[in-house]
Amino acid sequence: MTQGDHNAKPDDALVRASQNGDMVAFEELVSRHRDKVYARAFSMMRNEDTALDLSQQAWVKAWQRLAQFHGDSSFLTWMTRIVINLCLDQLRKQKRLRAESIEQLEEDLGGVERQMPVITPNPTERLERSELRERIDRALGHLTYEHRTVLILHEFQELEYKEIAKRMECSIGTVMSRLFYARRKMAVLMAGWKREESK
Amino acid sequence: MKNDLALKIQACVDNELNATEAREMACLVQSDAEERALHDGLIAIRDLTVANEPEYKLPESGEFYWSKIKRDIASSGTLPVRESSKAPFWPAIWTRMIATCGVALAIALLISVNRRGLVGPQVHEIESALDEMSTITFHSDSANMTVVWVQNADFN
Repeated sequence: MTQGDHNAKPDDALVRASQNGDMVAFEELVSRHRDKVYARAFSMMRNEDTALDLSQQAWVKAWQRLAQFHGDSSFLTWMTRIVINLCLDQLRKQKRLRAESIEQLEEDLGGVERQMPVITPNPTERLERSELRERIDRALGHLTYEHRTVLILHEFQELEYKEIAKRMECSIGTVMSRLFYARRKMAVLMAGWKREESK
Repeated sequence: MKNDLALKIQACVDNELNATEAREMACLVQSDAEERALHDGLIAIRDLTVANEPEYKLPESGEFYWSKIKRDIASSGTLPVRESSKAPFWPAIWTRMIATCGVALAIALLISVNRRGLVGPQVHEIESALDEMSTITFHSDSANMTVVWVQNADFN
């Protein structure tokens, strides 16, 4: 069977075929979701080579564990979970999830500051969506990985505090303060860029 | 306002509070301008971020990307999981059982043969005390016996 034969099939049919050893069906799944899986790895690692490597590892792992996929969630959700876990493992290995970054220290000493610039997308500003995305990407790049990871897991993966705490092996309180700090920093950065432009 | 309250307002924004707490927080936010500003600010940055998730494209061709995955799967020698789990597992169990029994049997046989002394008399020279006396001592483990041979060197 060629990949073309699988084009019209839904994910669950491709998963079943893959579970029976159909590598072509699995290739079609990779082709459909590779960008999203890679994007999640890149958003967490902020490095192209690492993101490529980890996302490819995630696909290999998925192939090996296909029997464990029972369709409780979508295939993409399951895949994303695998790649996130690989990224978190990698970050732990690199000892990058340390608690003593400068920003963490700042957070601990100052507590969560309340001042949160109100950012509302202004239609008159005529920012293209791609430009907004580019700014958010730039702001994400300014966060430490602890803060960025919490933000990604909450805003983009829509995980609850409890689930994030479990994945990141920290307390719910830590998740809450990291999320608050990350949002505040994002808001400050976005407001700053807006001010610079209006000058 | 304390940090705890700020985090609680955030938890309210994220629907992490129970119904009672959420109601209390809503009242609190309505009655205090500072708290309302924080509440609105949190919602604004959350919505802006969620609605504009950056997109990252694969920096290499899909074919090249897949080729590495395929190679890694092949080199890991992993069979499709479902296929291998479907395969009958009795032959594997039998092979393992036969191998285990074989090893156990070989060990038992060796011990038995050793005890019966079928591997030949295990005779060891223990000592030859004096050159002039020409005394030689043997000990046999299998016969559980020690023999001392005494010979005067002059007789040779």
